[in-house]
Amino acid sequence: MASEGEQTVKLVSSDNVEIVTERKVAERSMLIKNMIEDLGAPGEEPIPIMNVSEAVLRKVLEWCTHHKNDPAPSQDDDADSRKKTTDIEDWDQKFMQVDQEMLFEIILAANYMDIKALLDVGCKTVANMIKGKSPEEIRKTFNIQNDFTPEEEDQIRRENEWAEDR
Amino acid sequence: MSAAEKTFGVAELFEAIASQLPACDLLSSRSVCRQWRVNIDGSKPILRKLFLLPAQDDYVTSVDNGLGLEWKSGSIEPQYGLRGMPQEGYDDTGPKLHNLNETLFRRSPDTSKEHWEITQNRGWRVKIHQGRISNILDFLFDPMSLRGYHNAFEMYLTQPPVKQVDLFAMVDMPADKTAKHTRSWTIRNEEGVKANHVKQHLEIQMLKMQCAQRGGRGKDMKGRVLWKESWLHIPGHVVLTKEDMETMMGVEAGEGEDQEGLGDLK
Repeated sequence: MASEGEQTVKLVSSDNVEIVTERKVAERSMLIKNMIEDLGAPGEEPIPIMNVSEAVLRKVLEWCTHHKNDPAPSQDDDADSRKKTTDIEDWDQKFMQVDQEMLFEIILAANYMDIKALLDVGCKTVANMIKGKSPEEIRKTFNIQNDFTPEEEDQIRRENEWAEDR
Repeated sequence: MSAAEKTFGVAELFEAIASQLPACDLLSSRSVCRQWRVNIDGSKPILRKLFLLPAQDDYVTSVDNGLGLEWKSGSIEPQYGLRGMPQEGYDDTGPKLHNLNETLFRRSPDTSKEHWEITQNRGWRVKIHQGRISNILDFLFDPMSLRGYHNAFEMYLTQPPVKQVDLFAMVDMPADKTAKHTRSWTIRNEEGVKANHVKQHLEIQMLKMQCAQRGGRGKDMKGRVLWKESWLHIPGHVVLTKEDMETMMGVEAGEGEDQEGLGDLK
C-alpha cells in the first residue's frame, strides 16, 4: 500500500467520458473510496460516476487535486463548521467563481460523491448569495417562482410586520 | 430542471445551505416560495436558529476565564438576586454563554449610549466587557405591539433559552405628573422565556396600573399609562450576539489556538 499515492483510477462520467486520475485525489470522494475498497483492484475497472457529467467531474477533481493533502475529516467537523460560517478559503472562493448552474452542479456532485468539505464550501457560497437579500431579490437571484396565493402572501406579511420598520 | 432547483429541492441540501444563514435571512427565506417555507418549517436545526425551538445544551458551551475572556461581572452581576431563587447559568465552569436573538435585539449603533450600562437599578442595555468585546444591546421590538400571528411571538429571547429575565419599564402617567416610575418584574418560564411572555407580562402590569390609577383618582381618569421604554436584564448570563461569538472564534484562530474554541471547556 506504500505506493497508493501514485496509483491511478479510471472514472467514467455520466456522459461516458473516461477520466484517469490519481487515486489519492479520487479518494477525497467517500463514494469512490468505498467503491475502490469494494472493487479490490484499483485502476483496472473503470468506476462509473453516474450522476455527474464530464465538465462537472473535471471541476470536482480540480478541487480534489488542490485538497488532496488535506487532513481527513474528523468527527469534530460538524462542531467546527458551525462556527466560522462565512469563511471560505481564498482558493476555494476563486474555485467557486463559476456560473450559477455549475455552482449547483458542483454541490449536487459533492453530495452524490460524498465530499463533505466541497459540499460545505458550495453551501457557504450559496448562503452568501442569499445573505442580506429580500425575498424578491432571492427569487430573482435563483430564478424562483413566487407560488404563494394572495392570502398566503398576506399571512406572510402579517407574520413579519413586527420586524418591518427597522 | 435547473441544478439550483434540484439542490433546493433536496431537504438535506437546503438545510445545509440555510444553516449557514443568520436568523434574519432565514425569515426572508421563509417568504421566498412554498418549498423554501416547508423546508425551513420542517427543519429542527433551522427552527433552533430561528429561536423557535430550544437549542441543545452544547449550542453554546460554557466558558471560563482561562480563555482570556474578561468577564466583567460588575456590569451584569445579578444585582436583582431575585428573592432567593437559584441563579441560572452558573456552574463549575463559570457563567454560561447565551446567543442573543438578534431579530429581537441588536447591538446599539449609538456608542454614546454607553452610560446606559447596567447599574444598580437599571437593566436597560446590557454591556458586556469580554476582552475585545464591548457591547450595548438595544431591545428592538416593541413588546406591546406583538401579536399572536407574528413569527416573533414564539421566539425565545436567547439560545439556549434562559428561564428568567428581569423586566423593567419606565412608565409615564400623563394624568399624574408625579408618577414616573421605573418598575421591575421577574418573568420566569421553566421552558425558557419567549417574546410573548414579555408582552403578556407587560400587558398584565399595565392593566394593574390602570386599575390602581382609576381606583385612586376617580371617574375622570382614563387610566392612561405610557410606556416610555422597557428593557430586559438577563441575570447571571453572558449574552452574546452571533457576531461576538465569531469574533471570539476569530481571536482564537488568529492566535494559533486549536480550533476547539469554546467547545473544549466541558
